[in-house]
Amino acid sequence: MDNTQAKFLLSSFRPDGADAHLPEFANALKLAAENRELGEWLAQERATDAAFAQALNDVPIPEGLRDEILAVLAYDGSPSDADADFDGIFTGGMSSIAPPEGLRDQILAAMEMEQGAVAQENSKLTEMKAWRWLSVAAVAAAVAVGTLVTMNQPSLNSGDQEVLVNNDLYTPSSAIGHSSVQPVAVHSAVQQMAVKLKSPGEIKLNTDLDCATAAMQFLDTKHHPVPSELPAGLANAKLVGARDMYLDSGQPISLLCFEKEGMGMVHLIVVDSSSLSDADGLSSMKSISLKSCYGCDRNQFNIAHWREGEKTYMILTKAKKKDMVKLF
Amino acid sequence: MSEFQDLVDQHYQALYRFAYSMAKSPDRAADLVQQTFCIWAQKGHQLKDRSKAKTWLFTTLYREHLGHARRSTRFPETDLEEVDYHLHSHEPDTSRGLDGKRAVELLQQLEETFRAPLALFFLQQHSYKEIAAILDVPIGTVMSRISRGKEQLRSKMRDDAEGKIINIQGKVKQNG
Repeated sequence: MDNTQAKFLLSSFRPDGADAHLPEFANALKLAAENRELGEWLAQERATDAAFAQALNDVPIPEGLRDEILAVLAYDGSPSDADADFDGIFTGGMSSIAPPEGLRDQILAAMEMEQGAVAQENSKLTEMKAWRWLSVAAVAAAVAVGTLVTMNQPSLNSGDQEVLVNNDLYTPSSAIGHSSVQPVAVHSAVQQMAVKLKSPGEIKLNTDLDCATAAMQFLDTKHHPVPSELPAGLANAKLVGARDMYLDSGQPISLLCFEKEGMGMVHLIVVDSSSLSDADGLSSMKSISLKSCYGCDRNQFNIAHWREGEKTYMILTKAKKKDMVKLF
Repeated sequence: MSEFQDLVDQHYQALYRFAYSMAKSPDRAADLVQQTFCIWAQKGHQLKDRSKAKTWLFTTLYREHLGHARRSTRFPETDLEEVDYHLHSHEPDTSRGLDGKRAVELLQQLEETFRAPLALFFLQQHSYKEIAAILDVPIGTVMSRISRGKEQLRSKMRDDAEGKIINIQGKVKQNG
């Protein structure tokens, strides 16, 4: 082995000496110990490598990345210990809950009204995806869910067809046996909405709204977050519809769906900043942040989020980021 | 502490730094790390030898990066934060030494073939054999890329230093 060969080999020798035990470096290291020129070269090489390695290992890690990874993974179905504990408590609690009297009849009546509503050509509700009639099994499940969600709900107005039929979809699950709702991380809210938006039949928009102002009034009547300012690019976009909804853990949110030329559907989500645990870290609309959705089942929604005072906003769209930029 | 949490704690920082060395923005790097652990959650149970989890994670992240890079080539996108990043990277700044950000910038200036092996080498988490496994290239190729990549890197560092000298001289002339 000559010096050139030794240098080539030792180029892959880690500066922290972690490879010192590897036999393939033994001859080259021995040669460096005996040969002054090679020894000096190796010392210089390791010093330079160590400086660069130190710099690279000093790259700061984004604050919250670890928590985001753990949270997203928990959401994706890898239960954490806390989830397991919660599941146990929750399951035990569920067994003691008895369905309210008449609930089954309410649900069946609601289904009948819904069938009638769909049959009417001038129905004021348009589904984002074709409505799939509930199977017998789904009805049974709805009874169980409805049993839970109605416990802390005000009595339903029998004339409010839309609210009644959608009650199981648009009622906060956290209302089950909980008096307060814990804030949720921004990325978790985004994740949940991405999942809901991609699920056929999951979201029914109120399309009896001809403009954003009407949508805001509608959401206000539902006591849901109302956007105080829209991105400039949405001002002239066509409103498709709006919806009052809840995150899985019960935080009220508002969904406004727009159709923007060249972009397709643009979903604006509004949530009270106090419902989010890390809204403080969000930038304002003027310094907007765009990023791909974290782990959204590879659906690749592009996402923007920002905070303006008491409201936090998120946009989910499948449009390209370069087009999203034009919204602001 | 769960096995998963333990795995995240052990590797997410090195994975992020590796991702940041190849991706063009901190957010893209964070996305890659997220995606890697999501894939682990879905498929990690298939790995029978748990001692290879670290190599598996780096391999997966690298493949995700390559996949994204291919998609981006077909459908180029502009990321606001990337634009912002590039603007900053071209600003003359004589005060910067070789800190983490500059190290990443220098790595990103290298050809793609050299960037990944060098980033893994400098992170010092893997031997050259493990780097070969992660990148799915022969051992000799990895050694060659590390050696030649370091030459390129030092050349850029010299250019960088010379650029600073020129810049300082320019400022002295302006001020003088």
